[in-house]
Amino acid sequence: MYYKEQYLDELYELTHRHDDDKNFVDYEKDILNRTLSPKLFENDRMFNFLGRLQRLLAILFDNVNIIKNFKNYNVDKYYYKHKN
Amino acid sequence: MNLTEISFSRVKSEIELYLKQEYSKSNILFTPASPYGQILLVMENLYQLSMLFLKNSIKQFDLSEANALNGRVIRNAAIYVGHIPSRNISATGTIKFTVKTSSDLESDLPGGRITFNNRTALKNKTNGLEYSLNLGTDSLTYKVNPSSQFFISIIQGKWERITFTSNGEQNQTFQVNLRNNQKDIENFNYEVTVNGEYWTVKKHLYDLLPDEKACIVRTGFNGGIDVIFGNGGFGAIPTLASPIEINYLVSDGSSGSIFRRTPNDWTFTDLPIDGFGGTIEPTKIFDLSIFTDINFGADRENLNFTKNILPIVSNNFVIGLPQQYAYQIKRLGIFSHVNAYTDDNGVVYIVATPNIKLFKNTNSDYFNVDIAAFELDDYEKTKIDQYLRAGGNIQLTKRYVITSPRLSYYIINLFIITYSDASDDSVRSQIYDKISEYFLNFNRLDRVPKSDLVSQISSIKEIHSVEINFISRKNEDFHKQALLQQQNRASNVNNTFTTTETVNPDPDYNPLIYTGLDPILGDIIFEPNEIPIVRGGWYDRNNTYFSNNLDDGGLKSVNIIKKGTIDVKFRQTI
Repeated sequence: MYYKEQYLDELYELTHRHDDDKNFVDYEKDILNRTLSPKLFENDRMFNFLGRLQRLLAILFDNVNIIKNFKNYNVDKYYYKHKN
Repeated sequence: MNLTEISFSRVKSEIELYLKQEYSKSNILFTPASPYGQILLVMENLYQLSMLFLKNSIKQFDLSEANALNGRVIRNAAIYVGHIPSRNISATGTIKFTVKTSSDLESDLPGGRITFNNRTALKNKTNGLEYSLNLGTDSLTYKVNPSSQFFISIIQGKWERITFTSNGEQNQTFQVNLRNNQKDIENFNYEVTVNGEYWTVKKHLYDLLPDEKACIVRTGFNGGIDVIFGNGGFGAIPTLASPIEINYLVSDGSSGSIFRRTPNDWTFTDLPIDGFGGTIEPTKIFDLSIFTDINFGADRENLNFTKNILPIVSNNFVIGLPQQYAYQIKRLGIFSHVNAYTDDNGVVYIVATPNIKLFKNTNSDYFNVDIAAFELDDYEKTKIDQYLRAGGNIQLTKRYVITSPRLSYYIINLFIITYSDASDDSVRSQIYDKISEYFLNFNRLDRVPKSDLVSQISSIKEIHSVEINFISRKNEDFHKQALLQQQNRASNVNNTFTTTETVNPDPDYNPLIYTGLDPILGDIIFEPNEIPIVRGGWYDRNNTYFSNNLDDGGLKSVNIIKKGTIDVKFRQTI
């Protein structure tokens, strides 16, 4: 989330238009979908609530990533596509 | 309140307690089975995992921590000092295609020719791993007749591709890594294209010329590879929004080596093309066999090796000193013992012993592995040569010679005192195991201290005390030769029929000389071009035979002499 927010949407789109690296955990979109029962998402109110909660969790992970990337000078400070 | 007491689970349990007190149904509404309970539980776990990760990440900054044996920590520290940890190296070899006697070429192969594309994928049936054809050109076409046979190089691994987009900035870097821990991006096989044009891969930023279409590829901090582009002055900058495509070989390392020659052990995942442009299943027409061993597969550098190798890292990629030759070869991981030394003319002699563990099957041990496993054949020497030329810049005017080590035979005599509850068979097999393990992981360069083996064998709990001595074949041969000469001279004297004449001893012979052994400490001593091996099959100076078979009743390569027992009640338990 932090990574994308550094750029204007158009610029981000331009500089990532050919990217096909999809083999990572996209926690901003997926983390609660993958860990909670799908039944919970059938309730509209809950669906909206969990969507907002997911963003908060994504911020938590983004902050952890800063430390994770601290020693790695080859990636952006907010790089989030770690594989392991 | 102490700040360390604030934890997510404590806050959560306090909220639960509060809710329980406020609402009488709290036990039903807020259990993990309820929606809110489940959300809270998941949040708690994710939060805890983040905290754990954070703690672990912070510990990475301190190498003196016990946790510093963490692979990522060591590897990253090594990358910082300029070492590029090696990744998996794929096994390579050649397979032979021979037309099956049962095939009818006219109907089975339309057009009478077959075209293979480079990187055609095939699978080995026995180990289930993927291999790729390595043609060195885009495609190869063969005219086929009933007596045709041809040879194609293959490399273990599967080619994959990933695309990034340039942001037009200086020194752009892109990380390519895999989620599978067993596999790795191959050490040498990758290529980079920008806007569909191949860019040269170089080793260092300072190797790049101004605006040269070239980039650098290094082992990445998170595994895999990092591709680094230049800044204009050193290497061109890919233009904004241009696609950057990286092709790489995903390798399984040492498990890709095949030492058996099972015929027709392959299936083609990608199919070649016949003379009329249709696809064809080659296994229906051809018998496939392994022509040259598919070998030299190696796993990524192991952790201890990375730690040990750091002092002799060559940052400038030049191979000049003998240690640097040894460094380049050791990092392959397929040699258990590498020694490099130089003579007066500056020629570097490289003595390498293949890692016997890779050649022996799981049931055999050091004592029954084939003696040929200790030696390099010509094919292996050629491969080392190719590897050295690919791995660094060999200093001009430097000559090197790759040789197998000379085997220096030894017998081990072990004197032991066991505890009274020990079974002789169990003790014997444990001793054989320890010695086997020690020599399979052998990493000494000039001496085998007795203490190494004493400490190994002392760790067997049935053994109270142990003493070891070695018999060196070189030493025995030396003294045997002298004794023989003396006997010859004596028989010559006897032939003269002059009974008064006595035989003078050879003035050059010193009976106190020890070759291959330390006369004081009793350690094994060996030259840089030698490797000690514990094997029988020879006679000592008194014509006593040491058998090669550990199951023999007489003297053999390891002789265990029991000097007594100690009552088990005296065993130290602390």
